[in-house]
Amino acid sequence: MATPHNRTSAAYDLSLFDTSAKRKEQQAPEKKTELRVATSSVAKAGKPVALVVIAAVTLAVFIMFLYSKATLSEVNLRISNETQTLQSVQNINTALNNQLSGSVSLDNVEQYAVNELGMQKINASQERYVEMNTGTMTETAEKNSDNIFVDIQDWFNGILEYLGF
Amino acid sequence: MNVKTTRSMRIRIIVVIVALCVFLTGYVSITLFNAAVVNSKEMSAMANDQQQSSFTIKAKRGTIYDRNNKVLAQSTTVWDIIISPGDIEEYEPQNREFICKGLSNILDVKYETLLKACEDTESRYYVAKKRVDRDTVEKINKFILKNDLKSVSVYSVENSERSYPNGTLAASVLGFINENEEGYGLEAYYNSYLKGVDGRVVSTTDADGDAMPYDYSSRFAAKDGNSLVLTIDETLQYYLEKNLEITVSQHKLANRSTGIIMNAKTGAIVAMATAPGFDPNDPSYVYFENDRLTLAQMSADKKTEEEILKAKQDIWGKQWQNKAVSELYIPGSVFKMFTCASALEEEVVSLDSTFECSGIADVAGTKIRCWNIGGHGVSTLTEAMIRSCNPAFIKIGQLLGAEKFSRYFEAFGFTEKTGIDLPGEADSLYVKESDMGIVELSSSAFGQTTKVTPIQMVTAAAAVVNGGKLVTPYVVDKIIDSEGNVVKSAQTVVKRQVISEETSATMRQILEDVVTANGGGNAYMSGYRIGGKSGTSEKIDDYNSGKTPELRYVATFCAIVPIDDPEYVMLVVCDEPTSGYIYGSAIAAPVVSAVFKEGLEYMGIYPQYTADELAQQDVTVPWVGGYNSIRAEAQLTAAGLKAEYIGSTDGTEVTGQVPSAGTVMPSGSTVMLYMGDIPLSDYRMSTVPSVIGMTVEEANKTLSDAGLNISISGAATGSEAKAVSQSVNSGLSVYRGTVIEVNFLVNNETG
Repeated sequence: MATPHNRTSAAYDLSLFDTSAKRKEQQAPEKKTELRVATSSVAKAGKPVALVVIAAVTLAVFIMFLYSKATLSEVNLRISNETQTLQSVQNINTALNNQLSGSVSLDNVEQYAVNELGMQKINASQERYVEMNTGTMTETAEKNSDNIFVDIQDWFNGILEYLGF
Repeated sequence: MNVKTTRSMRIRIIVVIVALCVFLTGYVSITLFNAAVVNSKEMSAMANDQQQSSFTIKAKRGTIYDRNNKVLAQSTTVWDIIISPGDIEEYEPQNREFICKGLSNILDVKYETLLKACEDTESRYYVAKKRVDRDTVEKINKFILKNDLKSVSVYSVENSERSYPNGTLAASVLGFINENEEGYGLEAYYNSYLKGVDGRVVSTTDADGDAMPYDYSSRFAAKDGNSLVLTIDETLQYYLEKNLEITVSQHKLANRSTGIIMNAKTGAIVAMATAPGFDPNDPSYVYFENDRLTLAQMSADKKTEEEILKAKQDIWGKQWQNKAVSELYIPGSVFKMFTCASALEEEVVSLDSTFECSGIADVAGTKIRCWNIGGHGVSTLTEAMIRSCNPAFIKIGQLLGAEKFSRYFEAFGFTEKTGIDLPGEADSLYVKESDMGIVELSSSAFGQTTKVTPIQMVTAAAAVVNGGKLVTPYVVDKIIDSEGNVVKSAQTVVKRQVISEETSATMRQILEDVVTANGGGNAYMSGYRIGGKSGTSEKIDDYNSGKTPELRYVATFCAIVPIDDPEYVMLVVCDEPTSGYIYGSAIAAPVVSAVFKEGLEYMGIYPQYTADELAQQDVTVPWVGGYNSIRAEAQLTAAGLKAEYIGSTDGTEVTGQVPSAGTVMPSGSTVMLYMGDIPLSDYRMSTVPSVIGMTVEEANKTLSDAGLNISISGAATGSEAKAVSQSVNSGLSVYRGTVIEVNFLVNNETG
């Protein structure tokens, strides 16, 4: 649009009356000022490397996760097998103990002792009874001391003994 | 020509795609809705069936221990041997006969049976034999390895079995249980404690049907059964059973025997046995020889299978029954201790009271005889008990009266069950007070009318001697869980005070007098204070009903030791002896004596001899060969023996002695010493006289006169004891000085 101060004798400048163009100009978005960081060539070259590294790390983590799961499964399976083996062996132990108890039952022991070993039970004639007229007793002899220092020392020792030293 | 897609074409494509998507989405949604909402239950069930599996973890049945923690019953692992005919057919059809032959030898199963099973090639599971032991499994494994057979063809599978390692020991108490949890004894009574609670593992399965454990499974652990610790002592139980078995055999008991040893103060049962018993490892085997003969006779008589089976079932029922708890018997003269205690408590009699016995009592026209047909004459209360005089106790019963008699009968626990923790306790049979006339009262007073269980009898006897307290007997001391924690513990339960301490003390003295009377009865043991009473009852009801062809008896003995401070009460009941002996003192008292001889020191009861008893102890003959006469005599004197010399003693040594060293003989006996070179042919001989029927004194004199020594066996040494057997038959010629063992027995109601 012509400024009010422009008084030249210009012919009609139709462009000044071309509102569509002006509208277009108005409508054209303002160009934002962008701050661009100038990327160096090195940085441009490192971008794929980072991606590879990240991918590698991710893969490694994934593999480790799988491996740990597999190891856990394996260990658990071994535990299960060993537990089963333990249970089985315990059952065998119980069965054998039972067999042993049966073999050494009182009846078997007596039969074997009498029939195989020719033993016989003790009878009264083989026992001797000893009469104890007095009970089993001990007496602590009384200590007689004329020395007062010995008495004090004994008293002090007694206290220490009482206290557990 | 460049054909571009027009707008309408694009729109049509979009519409088709959208329509397809809508259709697919709608279809999936409807299907999902059906599955998740409409048919959710069925679908869930199908999914669970397909994706989940579960199996039971069997709970381990509890163990039964004796009071010293020795195992009496335990569940153990056994194995079932499985044949897979399908796998044999698939992998090694050429080995079929060989496998069957091998298994037949190892398992003791018919070859033809196994071969027939292997012909069913559709099957992959045939049980060749159930419940084999580890040794058999090892043999099977060796057979497979040695012959390079496939392990899928023959293999073993674990199973569980109840095992009783001591066989018949305490069988009637322990009992057994079948798969339906029906049974006998403690196994049945405490089944809810013993069986535990089964567990379960629920897990998700993969596409192959294999379980996925860990995060995909839930385990509900089994709760193992609780264990029982009994009051029973394995050793005392063994002594009791052994001696009951000997008596069953010796006196040919037609209806078994039973014995109980109970702690007089607490009611704890330390031994309870029925003989013949059975083996709970094989309960169907018939142990009683009479029953086996009966079944054999039925087979020989070509009885039907149903009849034989019925007979077998009756026999099994009786065999498995605990006679001490489930069978009634007529107590006989043992009951007199209760009549006596009741009368003393009511002060209707005293120790100075006297009673007349002419051999028969007339009660309202009914003649009731005494066992001593000639009569006892006049007896004091203690003498009446020692002599077991029926007329005396008829009188005592009448003095007591029906009302008081019935009251004490009830107070001693004879009208109710004892409450022992065993199944099948029987109710007693007795005459009620309202029905008790003078005749019933009189016969009840000496124990001939009522029928009680042995457990009622022993519990009441304990009340007589322990200060008057009626306790509840029990067999299980405590119940422990699989960790050993006590779940339940038994306590002594005193039901009531029946008689006073003073009356109880008086009864203890009377019962001791019964055993020591006349120099010692069949239950007497030197060094021990034992009290007791024998009983011999007539099974009149069985005879009158025709159940038995002749009148049969029940021989019993009830003992208390030590009588001055009772710790144990023991009762032995021998039902229907057919050996010719009938008296409780002759049949049951020796059982008591034998058990006490083996078991008293084990029980912690030691002898305390008087000087007289010590002097009468048996001694062992020492070796005096090669000694001169002085040294030999000194040695023999030190041992309590005397010497008799044959040959000159001047400068000679002992070259022979009779009896030989190590022989046991009574103190004061004589040892023949042969001095110098005297050949064996010159040894003096004596002819053994018969001493059967003689008293101890008579037998001793007779043998002594014959130049022989006597050794007394059997507990009885009193004036009533008579010789019933001698170790060397009369008429035989033996070396002078030989010891003849003579067995003495009091064979009447007083022993």
